[in-house]
Amino acid sequence: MTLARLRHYRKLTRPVSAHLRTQLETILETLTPLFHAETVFGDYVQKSMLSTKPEAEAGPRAQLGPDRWGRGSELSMKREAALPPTVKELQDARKYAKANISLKEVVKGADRAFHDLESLYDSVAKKKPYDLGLGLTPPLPINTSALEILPLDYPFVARSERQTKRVMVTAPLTWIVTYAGFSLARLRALIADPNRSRDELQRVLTHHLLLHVVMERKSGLRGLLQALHFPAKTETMPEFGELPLTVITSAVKTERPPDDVILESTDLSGVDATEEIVRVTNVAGMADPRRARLLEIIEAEKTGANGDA
Amino acid sequence: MDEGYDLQKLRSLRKLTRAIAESLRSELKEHLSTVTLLVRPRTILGDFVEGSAKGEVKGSETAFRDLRSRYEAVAAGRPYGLSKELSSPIEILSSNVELVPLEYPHVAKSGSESMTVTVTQPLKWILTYSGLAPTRLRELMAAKIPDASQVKNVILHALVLNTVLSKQPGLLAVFEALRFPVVTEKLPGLGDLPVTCISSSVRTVRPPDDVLIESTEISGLNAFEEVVNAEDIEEMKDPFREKLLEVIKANAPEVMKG
Repeated sequence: MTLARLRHYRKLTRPVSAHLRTQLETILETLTPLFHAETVFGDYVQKSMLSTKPEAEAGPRAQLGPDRWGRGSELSMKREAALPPTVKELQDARKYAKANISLKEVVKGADRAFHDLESLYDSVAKKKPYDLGLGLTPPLPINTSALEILPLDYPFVARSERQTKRVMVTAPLTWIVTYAGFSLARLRALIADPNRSRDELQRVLTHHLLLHVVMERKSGLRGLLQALHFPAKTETMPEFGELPLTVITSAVKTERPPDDVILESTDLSGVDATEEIVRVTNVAGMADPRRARLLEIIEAEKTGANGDA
Repeated sequence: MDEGYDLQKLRSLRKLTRAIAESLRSELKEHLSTVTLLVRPRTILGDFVEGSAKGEVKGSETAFRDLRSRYEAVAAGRPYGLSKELSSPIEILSSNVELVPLEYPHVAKSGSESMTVTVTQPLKWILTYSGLAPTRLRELMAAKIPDASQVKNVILHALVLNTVLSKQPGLLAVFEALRFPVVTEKLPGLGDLPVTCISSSVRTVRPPDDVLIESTEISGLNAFEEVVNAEDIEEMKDPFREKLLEVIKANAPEVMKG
């Protein structure tokens, strides 16, 4: 591959990635309610998420009955949705909860889901690079259920006979999915900040874990995304320790240009970053799993018919 | 009998049709189960649905207004002649969806013979809230004195589902992308009731009338199921791939030539 050829592939990669990104964003926007943490964790997360309007705008009708911690209409009217409960609120809530557990709001499997979340949290948050001593205290403050996607960047060392260079490579058709406002960039900045707020770090970390558990417990979502040609998977990245990251890829494969081309192109641009490319053959040669499965059925029926004969 | 459809071929096509229908139906059921939350009446109609947890749903007033005007048009029209009134909150008997095979009557003619056969389309389904399939209306309306409350319930649930889906164009696009397009149809005998159907990317065909008549004479039932056209599967195109190739052609035509 030459630089001229790389330019050629770039022209192809840009519109393909723009088209697929728009398509995926539209799909995720449609499916957003299915990713609500509350649909899995019930009243282990704040209930205000069921309201489609901010609390102040929606008014008292948006408030649900008291949850098992007593966080209902009165308490939640007084605080910001994004803030975690205060100590006093929690004490009041526990007192209140003893007599007023709202069973109808409990989501089936929520206890188990929260247990999974806690175990996962303990195995991730207490280790490097987070070193968080804080435990999880329900109900967890959830800021959003909307999702955002950002292309995956990863470090790569390109080598030639004369040169070695560390570059950031973007995989334009592989996206990290997070709840909106909780991108990896925010997490990266918090990890790097020696004066970071432990509460904020916990909140960001928890949002990643919540999404992971939601995806794990709703296996149909993975099947749906796969059928839409956007398979989802879980990955870890060394800089984020054992944090499971939710990644959505595309059925169209991308390739990293050869090392010498990366070195040449980054020397020219002056920026130590490059992007994977799409080849026409990656699109033209795409398999159609539905067609393949139905053809298999036809073949099996033919074989069966011949056997009968 | 038509040469392209002897009974032996029909038998093998029947087996193939069943296997393909089973595969596609189970895939569709899986997807429907995943998106169940989105097709619940409360998702769109909010507090206009009885017994739901309180919470404002954006656009629910408009959705209910639309539902009410559609209900008035259908319920008061032929063949139902019900009261136009629809008060809120409405009672929802079931918010889980199910698939019911789509059937239609067909008059098969061969020489001087003629018979009405109920034909099933195995790869096209009516989407309905469980136990409230619109086709039940035929049975209900055939009674001497139709049970107005049951008729009202079936009509209402069909209209609610249709409203819930039409208010979510993104969800309709998801089903289109899954190659299970959602369409609204009017069925014989059901007046102006919009019936929500889901079809698949594989077509089915009705064999010639003489084959139908011969088959029904053998089975003893005036019913027949369409069969798949296997060539359609061979030629099946993936719209996802086709769209991408269009994008490439429009933005980088020289790459396509290369």
